[in-house]
Amino acid sequence: MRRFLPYAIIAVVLLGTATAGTLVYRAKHARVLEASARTAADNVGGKAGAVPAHAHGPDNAAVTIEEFADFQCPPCAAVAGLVYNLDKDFPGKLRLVFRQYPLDMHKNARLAALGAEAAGLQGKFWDMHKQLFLKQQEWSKADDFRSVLDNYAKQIGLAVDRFGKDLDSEKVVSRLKQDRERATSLGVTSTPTLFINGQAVPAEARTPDGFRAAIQKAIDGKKAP
Amino acid sequence: MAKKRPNPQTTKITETAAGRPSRAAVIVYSIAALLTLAGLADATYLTASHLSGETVTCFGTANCSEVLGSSYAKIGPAPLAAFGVAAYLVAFIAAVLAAFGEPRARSVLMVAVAAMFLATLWLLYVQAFILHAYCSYCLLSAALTFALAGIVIVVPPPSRVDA
Repeated sequence: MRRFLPYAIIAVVLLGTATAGTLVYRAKHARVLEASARTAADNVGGKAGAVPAHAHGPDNAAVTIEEFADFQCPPCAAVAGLVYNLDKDFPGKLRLVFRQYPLDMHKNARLAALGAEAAGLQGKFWDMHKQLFLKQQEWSKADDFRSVLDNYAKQIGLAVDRFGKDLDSEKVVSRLKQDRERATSLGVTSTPTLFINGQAVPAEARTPDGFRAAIQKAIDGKKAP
Repeated sequence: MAKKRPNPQTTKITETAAGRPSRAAVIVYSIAALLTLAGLADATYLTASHLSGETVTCFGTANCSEVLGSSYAKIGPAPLAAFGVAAYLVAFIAAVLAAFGEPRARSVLMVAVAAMFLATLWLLYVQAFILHAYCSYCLLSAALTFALAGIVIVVPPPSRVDA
């Protein structure tokens, strides 16, 4: 019996390793496939934007809204109010994908977009998104916006040193570039521009009420047999 | 001519007079086997992650993706971690057999651990001086290999006992 014991131990470990390896592989591979399907869903038509996209809402939502916005644009701030209530108004039905489209005419827009992306690297994109839109009037014309941004970072609990370094990083800059390339490929020229399940919302409907009606229409359309 | 007698201190730790491994040797090789098991789990996780295509995220402040995504983390199409799996498996089998008194297993364990030690030194050099980034899974594996190397030095191979 003792003679076979070491071989039994070795056999158990070999089997355990193969099983554990297979289970880890399967679990991770399923996540990779899911992420790749989500990336495809977030990039309907046109060129792919930054991956992973900043998204809010369930992955399997019936309706996906893709928003191209500029943090310094006042109509975008108005739409942001709608965005924050999406969970309440349409629970479990929507997925919102946010794309950066800072306009050159707004002096602090690009830095604000970089700030939101840098916050995203610490998992707080949506906190910075909220901070920037809710306090838009406070910083829009600020001459020293960088220090205002540092202050916001502090308020939402970011590691400010890292935030400062990430602001100028290649990773953050390239996300803006990728979103811009996607916007160009989809023909976006102004903000806010929303696509609901890949269909652009007409210019005349680009108001909170207009967007709400378009979203409701898309949800109703999904319900229809 | 007088027959050369084995060093009693060394004999005590490796085998009893009856040729069976001493209690100390069983304990030491069992510890070695447990260390290789931990290394095997680490390397298996990294291999499965690599093959699945998912980016491994590190615990602590280390930056895994820079290390595991570099060209140094692969040999041809195969992830380096897969070679780690093979090395830890060989070391595990040798450690188990050594704990049960198989004399040749000790030599195999020593050769395997020596190779792993040298590979670990190279990989630490790559992380510190070429990539300037560390991967905590790799550092864990390095720590386990150093511990294994220490054990192999504590328990000498049979040739030194039987000389």
